[in-house]
Amino acid sequence: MGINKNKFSFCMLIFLLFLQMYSVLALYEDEIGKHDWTRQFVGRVQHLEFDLPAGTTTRQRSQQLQGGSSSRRLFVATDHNVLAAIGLKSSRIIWRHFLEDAPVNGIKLCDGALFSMSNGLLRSWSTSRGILNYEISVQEQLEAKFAGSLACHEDPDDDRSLVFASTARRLVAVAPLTGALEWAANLDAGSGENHSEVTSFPNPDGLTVVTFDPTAGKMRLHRFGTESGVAKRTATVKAEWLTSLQRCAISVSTLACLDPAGSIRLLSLSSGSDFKPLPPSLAEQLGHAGPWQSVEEIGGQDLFQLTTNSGAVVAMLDASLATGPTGESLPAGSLLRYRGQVRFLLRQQGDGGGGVTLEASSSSSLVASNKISLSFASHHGRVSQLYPVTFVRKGGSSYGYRVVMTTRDADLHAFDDTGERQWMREESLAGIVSVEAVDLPSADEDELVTPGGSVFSSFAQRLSGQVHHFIHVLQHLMLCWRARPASQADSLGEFGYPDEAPAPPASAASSSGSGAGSLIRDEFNLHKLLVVATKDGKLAALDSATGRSVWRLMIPMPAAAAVAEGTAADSARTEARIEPLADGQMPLYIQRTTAHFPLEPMATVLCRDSSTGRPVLFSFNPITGIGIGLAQRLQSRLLQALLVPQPSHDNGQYIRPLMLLSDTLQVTLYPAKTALPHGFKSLNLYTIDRDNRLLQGYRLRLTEQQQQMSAISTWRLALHEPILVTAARRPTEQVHSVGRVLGNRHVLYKYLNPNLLAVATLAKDMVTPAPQIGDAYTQITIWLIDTVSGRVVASATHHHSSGPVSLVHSEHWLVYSLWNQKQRRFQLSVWELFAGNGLRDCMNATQPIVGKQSYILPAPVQHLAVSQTERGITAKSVLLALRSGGIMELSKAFLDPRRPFDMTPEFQEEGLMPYHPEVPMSTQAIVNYNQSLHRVEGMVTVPTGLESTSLLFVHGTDLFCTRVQPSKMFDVLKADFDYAFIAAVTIGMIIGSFVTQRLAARKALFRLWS
Amino acid sequence: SSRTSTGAESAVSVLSAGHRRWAIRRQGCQSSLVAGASSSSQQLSQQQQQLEKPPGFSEREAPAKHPESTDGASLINKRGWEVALGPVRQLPMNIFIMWMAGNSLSIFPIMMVVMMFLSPVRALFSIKSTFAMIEGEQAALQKLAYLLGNVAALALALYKCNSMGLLPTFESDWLSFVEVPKRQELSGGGMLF
Repeated sequence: MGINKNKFSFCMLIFLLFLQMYSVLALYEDEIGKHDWTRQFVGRVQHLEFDLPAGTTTRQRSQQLQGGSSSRRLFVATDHNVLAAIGLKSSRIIWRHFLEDAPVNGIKLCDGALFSMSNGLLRSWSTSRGILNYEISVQEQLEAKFAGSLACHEDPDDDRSLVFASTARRLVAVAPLTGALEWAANLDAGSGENHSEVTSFPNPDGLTVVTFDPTAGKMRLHRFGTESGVAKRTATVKAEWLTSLQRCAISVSTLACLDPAGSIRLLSLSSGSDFKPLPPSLAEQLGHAGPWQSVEEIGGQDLFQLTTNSGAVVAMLDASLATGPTGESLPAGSLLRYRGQVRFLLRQQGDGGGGVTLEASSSSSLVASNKISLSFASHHGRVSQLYPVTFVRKGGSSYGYRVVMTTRDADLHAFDDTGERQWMREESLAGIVSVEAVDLPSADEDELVTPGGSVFSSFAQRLSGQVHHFIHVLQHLMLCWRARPASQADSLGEFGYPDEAPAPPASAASSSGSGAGSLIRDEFNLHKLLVVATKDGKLAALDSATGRSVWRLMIPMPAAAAVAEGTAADSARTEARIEPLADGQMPLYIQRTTAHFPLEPMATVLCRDSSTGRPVLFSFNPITGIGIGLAQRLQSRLLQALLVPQPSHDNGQYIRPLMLLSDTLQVTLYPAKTALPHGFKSLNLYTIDRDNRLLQGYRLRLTEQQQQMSAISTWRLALHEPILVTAARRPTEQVHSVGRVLGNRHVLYKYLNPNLLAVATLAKDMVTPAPQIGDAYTQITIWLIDTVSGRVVASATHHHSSGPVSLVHSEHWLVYSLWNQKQRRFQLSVWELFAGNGLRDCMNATQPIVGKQSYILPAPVQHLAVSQTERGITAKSVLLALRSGGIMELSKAFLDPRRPFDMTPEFQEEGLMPYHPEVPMSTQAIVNYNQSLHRVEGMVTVPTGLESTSLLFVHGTDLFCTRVQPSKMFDVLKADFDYAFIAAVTIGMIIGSFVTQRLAARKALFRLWS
Repeated sequence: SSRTSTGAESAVSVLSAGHRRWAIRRQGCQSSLVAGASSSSQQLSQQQQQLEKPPGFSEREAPAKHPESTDGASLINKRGWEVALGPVRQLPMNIFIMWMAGNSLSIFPIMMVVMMFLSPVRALFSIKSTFAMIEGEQAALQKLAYLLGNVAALALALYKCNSMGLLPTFESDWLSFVEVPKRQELSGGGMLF
């Protein structure tokens, strides 16, 4: 027995040792997080549940509440289809699950387990660890888009609870603990199955389900009991005026809907067969006549909040009661929430956000009615959702409450009942749409003098520059001194989210104290500022070394005066906000870098005003985050914009002009006073019209006045196939070598056309016979188009292939990934374009020689990117964001169309690898080791001052930043370089040479004497 | 006249060298005798004088031949050719060494190539002093041969360099000096806004 035990423990020890070994396979332990950082997010919260249904009257629940306050957490479902548990105290993600690409219809806590409904699947999760308990398919056959609804029926009298999950066609009732199907019922959703919507609400007897078929304009009511799937009542209600169930709110006995004219219609769920209008007496009584903007269910007892422009009404609308509805009026911009017996009234102060007051009042004496003010920085915008929770304090004498809320920028805040903020999660950073890296200001003196002036002006400039610089350093030191105590105070949370206190708008955007201290360029320019724009219209700068937000700024709305001339009434009705341009674009342009020291850097973001659809330009200082001027609303729609890569040297402004092409083909420069770029034969712009599958090219020319610029359409290319993705070479990319040396020492010249655009389109495959099961095959065509002439330089078709396609184009090559439907695998294809063998061919080549090759990729890939270095000398690496969460660095040498089947010494000389169909995947090539990154939306590579190194920033639901060295660190000495030894040897040699010289001289002298 | 005098001088120097050699031999003999027995040294010298002449030895001087008058020019020519063909004679040896060294770029082949370069270059630099040694009617031809030999050695070294890939004879060697063509047209754009 004892021997057995010893053996067992020995085996266990060995096993544990192996576990330890595994953890050090890829990277030294002390290197984790040294040059990289990760931030994990969940996205914009859409559904939120607290871990214990708060304020319930059941005795056992309140006991649980008293006991379990330490591990309290909240469950969220977000727009990234993430289901997560977040600690209510720590703000950390306790567990997180990425669900399939279908919106989460709802989450509910029922009988101690968490239920989620998405994609027609009901899932039960354990609350503590997030383990999937069971999964039930509500509907047998899968449809493209599921509407779904989730409800929990908890009977306080008997302990029998039920979870109801429904799609538009079927309803299931499930016992929460076991997952046993109690009963199921078919719902008649009408003919428009794929668009049918469903909503449900529990009532004391069971459940009410409402399905709506928007194509027929028919609504069906079903009332079910808890015992069986036989509907107690069904009714069909005509509602042709209704566009979507999104405009309705359901409660225990009433369905309230908003019609297009902005009036409320009510339907009694228990007895009604038709919608009734809102009694005018109520509106009169409350002082609001509409038109209403929204209707929301707030308390669970037929309480609705109706909102207008000028205010809101909270009304108890029970359509079945003869007495009619009752209600009360609320001031404008308020939100009301009920949780148990506590009523929360939230009121926004001012328009720009920054603070709200919260009134908690209760009929119960346990809660002291109080009024607290919740303050947050103005860059968060207004409050968009409020999730209060009440709990019984220890001892059971009184209630306390917490407030969790989301703001317009998607950030998640938590406040306690004194109004003090406990934490904030920067969920806005999960919605990054564009990234630009900005060099930090340097103390390099060479950049103080601008070239091209006379000696005296240069000298004067130098002097003034030095003085400026000195003053800057002094100010900086002062700032550091002042910010020192503050920076110690605001170490919040795991990333120390320092969120500045509410301050006047002018200084609200200024960098927080601790941030200003470290914002100096380092020796190799590895430390940069990543300026990001999110889809909610927020700008932020992330420190590339730590990942901390240095500043945050909401893009301000342009001045109201500009709106007035337009359709003022229309714009006022819908709340105006900043949104990305078509196709989710929100381009950032760095118009002046930090290299021109006395002049401050300038960046511009191009976005859209949602109410008018007009483009908005906003310039800001990318280092400090302070706006330069006001946001500017353009009068005409834009087709495209082009940032000139070189700054214009006129009047010493060094601004790269931004050329804006309007839909009337007028070209305007931004800022208006900058001069036209010189040194180009022609300026061209192209647009990709995804809807019309059309590519169009324009040439810019000066009109006769020499002041105005206009564009003429030079070419148009109709592709007739849906455009999937496009890729162009980065305009700032540096190419070092114009050719490739072959084994016989001849040169294969690269086809270096900087104006190429790669386009991937999808079409039906007419060649490959359709498979026996499933849909017909599709094909992917890759086009390479010269954007100046509109000529198709090369094209190729992949039969039986489909997306997702990811394209990357750099130097003279193109790499893309696609899914091979027939072989059922991912492929990575590469094209290399060569101009020919002679230098003269190279210079005059119009048609490249294209080498193509495909490789099998043993893992699904989401995104491709390529490393960028300052001079382009370093070998390139292709970076693959894998579906599994890894970022793999793959040397371009593996993706070479010239990899031969038969190896000859000549090929060996050239350094080519023999062809092998599979791309090697090693765990050591995963640059983010075990920190999986999900839902990667984009990867940005930035050259640094070190030629070997490029920065990689990955954004999506998670953020990740690291350094990538495709050719290893050839320009930096290794960390374990033995300086002392080398120095000792060198000094020893020098001393030795002196000594031997002296000795030799003496010996020579003696020889002469002898 | 100067040529003859230099010839006589050289003959004298050969003779004097012969004397010295002989003298050394005698000295060595003496010292060995001294080491053997110091007292009997005088006896021994006396014995030496008393020794019989070996058979066939005659006191009479051999009839002196004087070929200088007739063969001096041919000697000079011969000597001149020796000097002139020195570099050419080394060529097969060099070719063999180079063949042995191979075409890999490592330190020993490189050193050999450098040596091969250095010796003809050094010879060419000191060509004046070498030419001073060459005289006679065929001097011009000899000088030319010497020069050509050195040039051939240089060519051989160059060929070796070339076969080792050290000469920038291919386009690829000048690739890093080719400028990337400057962008003539500016083009940019993207998805429709």
